[in-house]
Amino acid sequence: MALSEGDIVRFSRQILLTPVGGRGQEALGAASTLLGGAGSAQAVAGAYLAAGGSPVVLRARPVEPSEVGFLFTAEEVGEDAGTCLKAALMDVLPEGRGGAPPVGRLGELPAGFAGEGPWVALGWVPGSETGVVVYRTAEGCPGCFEETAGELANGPARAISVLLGAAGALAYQRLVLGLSEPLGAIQVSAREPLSPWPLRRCGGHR
Amino acid sequence: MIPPHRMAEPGWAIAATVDVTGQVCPMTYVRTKLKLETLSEGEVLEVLLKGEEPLRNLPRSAREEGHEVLLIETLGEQRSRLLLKKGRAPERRG
Repeated sequence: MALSEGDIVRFSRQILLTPVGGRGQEALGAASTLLGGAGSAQAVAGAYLAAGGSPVVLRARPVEPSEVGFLFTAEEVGEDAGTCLKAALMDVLPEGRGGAPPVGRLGELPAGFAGEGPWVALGWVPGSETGVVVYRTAEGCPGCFEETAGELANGPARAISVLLGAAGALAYQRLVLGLSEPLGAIQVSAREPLSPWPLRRCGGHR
Repeated sequence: MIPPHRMAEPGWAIAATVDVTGQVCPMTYVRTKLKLETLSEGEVLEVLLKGEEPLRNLPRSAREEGHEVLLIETLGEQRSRLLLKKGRAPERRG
């Protein structure tokens, strides 16, 4: 989709980035994303994706208590999350965007993934404060993606959820812009810089 | 009739022109960058600009992105003209 004059002004700082440019911004605008699962990291990721120009869509489901504090208020618990998200993101991604079926999936585990991709999963190493972002393009093995994500768990909202969500959005954008390998994972923690997380291989790749 | 300033550079066929005299930084380079994306590698873009800040920033930004500055020409009344030759686009994964 060609950039409108409003898009050029709104995303000018992003267009200036060498890896993005006008073509990259158009690609981000076409990368409508279905947010799956529920959680504060997913909400943060959705906000960053929308602010970067990618429409985000939520399936009809209630706002969970774990999502309160960033995009959702305590009064919105139980309300339709899609409607609440749309209102919350109105300032960063104006009305009229989206409409096309989502092409990618970003989900806070547990979440289902379908379609070609890109896919990004956000999860937690069980019993720890370490979050993990698992990602794949259409060329990355879905089996290996699911094996790696399958070891991760959901977790309560915490301050590090913001970093996990931001890292997930960045991973998704890099996939859309063609800047990323087809399959990978990174770990996110308060005490360590972002670093690779070991992939688990599926039966076809062991 | 060919404008006089276009007759000064034989061999540099101008593929497109972008007028950013009415823009302020960084929109000057945003507009220039968007126009460069429409050109093929090696094609020449003419940029018309106004003021010292874009004259200082635009050539540097273009070089940083791999484009060649062929000409910087002052035209008077704080107006300037650049000729940029588009460099190679960065490679992306499949």
